[in-house]
Amino acid sequence: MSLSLYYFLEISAIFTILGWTLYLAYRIGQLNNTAIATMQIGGFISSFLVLRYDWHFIPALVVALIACLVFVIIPALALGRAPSFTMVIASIALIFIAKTFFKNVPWFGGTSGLFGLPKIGYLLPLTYAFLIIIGVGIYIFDHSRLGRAASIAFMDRDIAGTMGINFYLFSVVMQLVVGLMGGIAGVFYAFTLRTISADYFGIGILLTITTFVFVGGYTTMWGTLIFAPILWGLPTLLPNSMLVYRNIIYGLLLMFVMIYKTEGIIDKRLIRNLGKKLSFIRIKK
Amino acid sequence: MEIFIAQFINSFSMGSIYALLVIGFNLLVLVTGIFPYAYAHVVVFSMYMCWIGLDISNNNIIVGITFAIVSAVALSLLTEPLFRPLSRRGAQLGSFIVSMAIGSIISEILSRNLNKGMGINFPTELKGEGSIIRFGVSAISIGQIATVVGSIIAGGLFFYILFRTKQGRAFRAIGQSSFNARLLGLPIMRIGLLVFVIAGILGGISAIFLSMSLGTASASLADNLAIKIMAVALFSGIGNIGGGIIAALILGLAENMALAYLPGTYSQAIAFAMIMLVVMVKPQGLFGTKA
Repeated sequence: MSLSLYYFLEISAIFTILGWTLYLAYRIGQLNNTAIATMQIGGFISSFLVLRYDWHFIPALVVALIACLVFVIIPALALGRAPSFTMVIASIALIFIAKTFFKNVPWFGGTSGLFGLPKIGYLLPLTYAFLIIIGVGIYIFDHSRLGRAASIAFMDRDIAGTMGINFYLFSVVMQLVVGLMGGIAGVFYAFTLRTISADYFGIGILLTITTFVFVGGYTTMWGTLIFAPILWGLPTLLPNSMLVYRNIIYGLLLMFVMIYKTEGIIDKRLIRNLGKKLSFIRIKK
Repeated sequence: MEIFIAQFINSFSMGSIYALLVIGFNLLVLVTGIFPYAYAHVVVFSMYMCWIGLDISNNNIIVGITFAIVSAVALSLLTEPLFRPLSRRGAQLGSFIVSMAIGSIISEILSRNLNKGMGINFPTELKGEGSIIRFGVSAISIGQIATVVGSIIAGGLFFYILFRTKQGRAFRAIGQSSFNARLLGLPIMRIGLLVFVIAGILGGISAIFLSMSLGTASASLADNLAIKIMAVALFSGIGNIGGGIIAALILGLAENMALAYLPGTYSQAIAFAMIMLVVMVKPQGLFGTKA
């Protein structure tokens, strides 16, 4: 497999997982960017354990995920009932808190970060295994009572409360899940690039995954799944002189979709219409 | 003790700039209902325009100031039509996302197209460093005095407009309830445009003071400033204009004291720490949210 195809497949899968973190959080109306903070933690902790203590990849992955959960639990308990803007700003603050920490602690390479990570031969199949597991999990969630509860919570928290939905608990659990998924993405990201630096994580990556989710469509999981590879891969077909304008293209696309097609390109109506057209395929529940 | 006094003076100077920025930010939140993440990016863009004005006019400060204010107002007005449909729908989170996209585009333009992507340095005449008032070991530059006095005048003028004029009454009416304001016959769109102009003017003035205080600018300054403005807004309560001024001064003080007594990069985390503190203790902000 060519190197460019390998990177495209890996990064597409990682950004799909990241996009799903934003999708899941927004299912209950919270724009939560904590996944990028835990992406840093997952990436740095796993890289540190493998490089410094010669750990095997799998135990390093497990410890990194535990570290992500520990990091997320206190903000999750505090942000459970937070208004939407508070959640947005606080989660962005968490990204920069993590960034400042990793830039200042010499164990993690300081401003240059960690590099020279070993190549993991089974990384690509493992990444896609996680992608499929997470995707199936989200599909089951969306089509379950929890998914319907999330839809009600998205529309109105008070109505959700009167129907017996504990929004606070829902929000805390969602933040923990999102944090865990961010950690997974971070570990795979670090070992794909075989280097990690705090500078990789900031507003740039936030804009990228926001574009994938909101342009693709935030009402279903399919929008992110389809548009992450397209929006990531399409700019690579552009001439190099245009590739540097990737962020401008993302910004313009995002603005256009948010103003003229708020729900994104793939919305529930499109899925329903596709379902009707393909109704000859029967799926037993 | 001398370090404390020097940093206290610095903090008052920076705090007054943050206060001006937060006034413009909260005004947009309150009246138009949008969340202008890109306000800081407009300010940094006008810093670059100020630098260009100084460059082409052989360091004529009047030309630099004119370039800064005109560019801030022009860019503000250019982005207004993008927010209008979102403001009408009440899509605050949507406006944040659009604003983030605008901010990203401005950052990309600054980092690639202006000054070949490199940061800019302002002449020492603008910083006023040549003229210093010394007392003991501490010193105050003319630039710092101009920043504080200028911010007080600009802020005072703004509050005069807000509380003593018909337009200001209209702003407050729309801030309380745009539905009722429309019923009473207030021209919402025209007032919205005026708000963007005032926010642009405040942004341009802030850009000049930032140029005087920092002496340099780069594309990454915009994202840092945006986080600080949001930290102050959240700390005081989103949309709370008066509370924002106090929170801005607190941030300026905390940041400069941290700069004096902690390793340099940790002082950047002060704004983030403020955010997390207020989120855990009082999510509505210290003085309550108005938006």
